[in-house]
Amino acid sequence: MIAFHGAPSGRSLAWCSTLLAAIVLPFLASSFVTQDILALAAWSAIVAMSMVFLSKYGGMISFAQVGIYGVGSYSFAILAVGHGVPWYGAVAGALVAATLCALLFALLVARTYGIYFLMVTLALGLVVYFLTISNYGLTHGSGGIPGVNPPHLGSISLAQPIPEYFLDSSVAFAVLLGLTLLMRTQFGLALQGCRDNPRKMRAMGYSVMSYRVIAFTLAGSIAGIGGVLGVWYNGIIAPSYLDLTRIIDFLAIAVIGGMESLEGTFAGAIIYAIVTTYASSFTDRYNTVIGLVLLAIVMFAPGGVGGLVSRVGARLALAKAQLTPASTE
Amino acid sequence: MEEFALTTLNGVAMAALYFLVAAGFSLIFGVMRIVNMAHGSLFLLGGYLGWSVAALTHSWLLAIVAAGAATAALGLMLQQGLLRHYQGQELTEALITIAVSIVIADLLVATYGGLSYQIPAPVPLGHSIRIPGTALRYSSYSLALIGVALATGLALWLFLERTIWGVVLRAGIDDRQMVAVLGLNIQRIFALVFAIGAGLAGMAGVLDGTLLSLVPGVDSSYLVAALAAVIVGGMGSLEGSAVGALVVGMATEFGIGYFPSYAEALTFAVMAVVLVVRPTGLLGKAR
Amino acid sequence: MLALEVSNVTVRYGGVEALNRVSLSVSEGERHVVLGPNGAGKTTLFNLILGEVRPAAGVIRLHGEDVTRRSVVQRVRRGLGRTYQQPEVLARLRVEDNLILAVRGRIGPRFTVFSKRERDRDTRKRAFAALNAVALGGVAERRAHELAHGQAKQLEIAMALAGGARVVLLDEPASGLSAGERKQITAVIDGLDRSVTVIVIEHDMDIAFHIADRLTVLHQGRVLACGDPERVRAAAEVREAYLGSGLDG
Ligand SMILES: Nc1ncnc2c1ncn2[C@@H]1O[C@H](COP(=O)(O)OP(=O)(O)OP(=O)(O)O)[C@@H](O)[C@H]1O
Ligand SMILES: [Mg+2]
Repeated sequence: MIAFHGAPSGRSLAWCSTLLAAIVLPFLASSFVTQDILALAAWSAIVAMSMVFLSKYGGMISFAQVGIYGVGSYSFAILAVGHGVPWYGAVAGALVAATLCALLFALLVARTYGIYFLMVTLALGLVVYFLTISNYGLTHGSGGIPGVNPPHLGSISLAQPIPEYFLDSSVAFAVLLGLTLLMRTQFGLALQGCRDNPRKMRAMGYSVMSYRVIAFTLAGSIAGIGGVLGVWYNGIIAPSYLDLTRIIDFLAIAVIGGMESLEGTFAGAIIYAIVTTYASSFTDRYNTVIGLVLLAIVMFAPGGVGGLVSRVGARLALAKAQLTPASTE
Repeated sequence: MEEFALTTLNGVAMAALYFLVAAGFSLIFGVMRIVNMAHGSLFLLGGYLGWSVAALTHSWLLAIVAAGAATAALGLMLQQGLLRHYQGQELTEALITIAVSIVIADLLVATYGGLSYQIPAPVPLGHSIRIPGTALRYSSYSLALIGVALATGLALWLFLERTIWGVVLRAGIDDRQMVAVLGLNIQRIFALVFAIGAGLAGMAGVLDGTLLSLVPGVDSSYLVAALAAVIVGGMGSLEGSAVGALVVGMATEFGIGYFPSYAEALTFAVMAVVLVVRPTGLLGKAR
Repeated sequence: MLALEVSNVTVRYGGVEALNRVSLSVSEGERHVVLGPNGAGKTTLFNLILGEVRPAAGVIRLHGEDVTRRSVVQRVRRGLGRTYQQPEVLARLRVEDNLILAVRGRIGPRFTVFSKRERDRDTRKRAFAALNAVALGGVAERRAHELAHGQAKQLEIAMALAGGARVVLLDEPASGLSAGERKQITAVIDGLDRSVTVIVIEHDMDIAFHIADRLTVLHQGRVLACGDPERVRAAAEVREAYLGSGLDG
C-alpha cells in the first residue's frame, strides 16, 4: 500500500514522458521534421490555445483569434522590416497592438453570447483580413510584407530548426502552464462562473462584462505571441495568412485537440501539421481531406483528442479503483 | 455630384446582392440558430454552375434557374443528411457547415482553377441607360439587379406574412418551443428554409458573376457581407436583412470610392457602432 | 429605518402591465412575505428590485438611497441578494466553488489573481458554514448540475445567505422541496441574524405565516393588501382572490 502511494500517478507519468519526448525528439528527427512539423505545431498550438482557453473557461467561441494573431504578425513586420525597429522593440509593439486590438474587439462583443458571439467574432476576424488586402500604405495589399527575419541571440539564429523549435515549444508550454495556473485562482473560478450562468454571477455582484473583456483581451495577447512566432516562422505576413481558410486551419487544430482541452491543442497541431504536410504529397486536394477529417471528428469524436484521452484516463482510473481493493487483501 | 450619385447607385446595387445572400443566411439563423458558414461557398458554387450552364446553353435565364435549383438541392442535402442529426448543438452545426464549406471551396478550385469568370449579361441588359430626369447613365443590368432583389424581398415578405408556412416560421423565430408544442412539422419547415436560403445564395452567385466576376475568395467576401448585414440589421428578420444590406452596401461602395485603402474600416465602424448601441441590430428585437 | 422602499412602480412587457403602481416598504430586519396567485407579478417585483428589469415609472430605494438607475451589480454591492424560482446555480462548478464565489461576490477586490491565504481560509469557512446549514456538506465535491432539484434550491439559498447580503430576496424557497427540506429551510430563515432583512415569495401558507412579520398580497400586478398577518388574514378581498379556501381549511 505504501509502495503504491509513492508510485507516480499515471497523469504525472504521462506528463514526464511527453516532456522528455519534447526535449529529445528534435535531436532524433530530421531538421525538416523539427521545423516543418514540430516548430510549426508549437506556435500554431499557441494560437489554438487562445481559442480553446476562451471556449473552455469563458464559454466564448471566438473566430477573431486569427485576425488578432494577424495584427501581431503585421505589427512586428511593419516595425521591424518597415521601420528598422530592433526585434525586442518590435516584439513589444506587436504584443501591445494585438492586445489593444483584442481589447477593442472585446468591448464590442462582450455583451453577445453563444452562437451570436461566434458570428460577430467571425465578422471581426474577416474584417481584419479584408483591411490588410485593401490597404497598401501600411500592409502592402495582397503581397504582404516579406523578408521578416527572426532575431539572433548571440551566435544562435532563431531561424535554425532546433533553436526555433525550443523557443516556440517553451513559449507554448509557458502559455499552457500560465493559463492553467491562472484558472485555479479566484479570477479563473469567477470566469468559469460567468461561463456557466452570467445572470447568477451578476446577481452575486460580479461584473460579468469585465470578466469577459479581461479574458478576451488576455486571449488576444496570447494570439499576438503566436503572431510574432508565426511571422518569424513564415518569414512573411500577407492577407492570405489571415483568410477564412486560415481561420478554419486554427479552428481545426482546436477541434482535433478538443475544444475542452488546452493540452489537446498540441496533439491537434501536430496531427494537423502531419496531415497537411503529407496529404499534400499524395493529393492536391488536401483541403478536401482536411474538411473530411474535420467532419469526421465533429460527428464521431466531438471531444477531439483531448476528449478521447480523458475518457481513456477515466476508464483506467476506474479499472485501477476496481483492482486496488483486491491487492490490499 | 455625379460621382456621389453613381457611388450611391453602386451602393444600392451592391446592397441588392448582399440582401439576396443575407436574407437566406439570416432566415436560416433565425429559424434554426445555425450559422451557415457554407453560405459563401454555396454562393460561389452557384456562380460557377451558372457560368457553365450559360457557356453550354447561351441562356442566362437557364443559368440562374439551374444554379438556384442545384444549390437549393445541395442545401437540402446538407440539412437533411448532416445537420438534422445535431439540432440544438450550435457549435457542432457551425463546424459541420465549416467542414462542408472547405470541401466545396476546394472542389471548386479543382474544377475551375484560380481563373476569373464572367457570365455574359442577358442581351437586353447589356447596355447602359439614362436614368429618367437626370443626365446620368447607368448599367441597365445593375438596375435590373436592384429590381430582382426588390421582387425577391417582396416575394419572401408575402411568403412570411401571408402564408400559413410563413406564420409558423415567424412564430418559430420568436418562440421556437411554441412551434414544437403546436405539433407542426418543424422538420419540413427547417428543410424548406435551408433550401430557400441556399438557393438564394446560388442565384446571387450568378447575379454577381454577371455584375462583377467569380474568383476564389469572393465566397468569404460575401460571407462577411452577409454577416455584417445581419449584425447591423438584426437577426432573423427580413426587414433587418434589407436594412443591413443597404447599410453595408453603401459603406462598401463609399469606402471604395472615397478612401479605398481603408474601405473595410467603414463597414467595421458601422458594425462596431451598432454592436455598442444596439447589440441585437437595428431592427432586432431587444432581448 | 427602511431597508427597502419601492414606490409607485410600473413594469410593462409589451402591452401587459406586470406591475401597476406597486409600492412596498420593508424596514430593517423585517421578515416580509409576498403572496399572490400565479402571474400576479411577484417574480417581476424581485427582478425589478434587483435591477434585472427596469420600471416604466416609479422609484426604488435601498437603505434610503435611490437605486432606480443603478445596475444589478451596483445594487448587489449595496447589500442586495436573491434566489430564483427555478434554481440558478453555476452548473459545471463544484458545489463548494459555487459557495466560494457567492462569499466572494460582495467582499474583497474582484480581480485578485494571487489571493491571500488568510482570506481564503475565511472564505472557505464561511462557505462551509453556509453549506452545512442546509445539510449539503456531503455533496461539496459534486458538480452543481448533478444535484437534485431540491438540493439545487437549497444550494442557491445557501449562496444567497453566505454572501453577507443585508437584504435577501427568496423566490419560493420551499417549492419543490420535501417536507424535511422545508423544515430545514424554515429553520435556516428563522435562524438568520435580525440585522438581515428578508423578503420571501411563498405559496405555502404555513411557512408564509410562520415567517412573516408583515405580508403583501399581489394580484394582477396590483397590491391587494399589505400589513401584519392578522390584517391580511382579515382582509375580505384577499380571502376572495387568493387565500379563501387555504385559510379556512
Ligand atoms: N420576460 C417577460 N416577458 C413578457 N411577459 C412577462 C415576462 N416575465 C413575466 N411576464 C408576465 O408578467 C406577469 C407576471 O409574471 P411573474 O413571473 O412576475 O408572476 P409570478 O407572480 O411570479 O407568478 P408565479 O407564481 O407563477 O411565479 C405574467 O403575466 C407574465 O406572463
Ligand atoms: Mg414567480
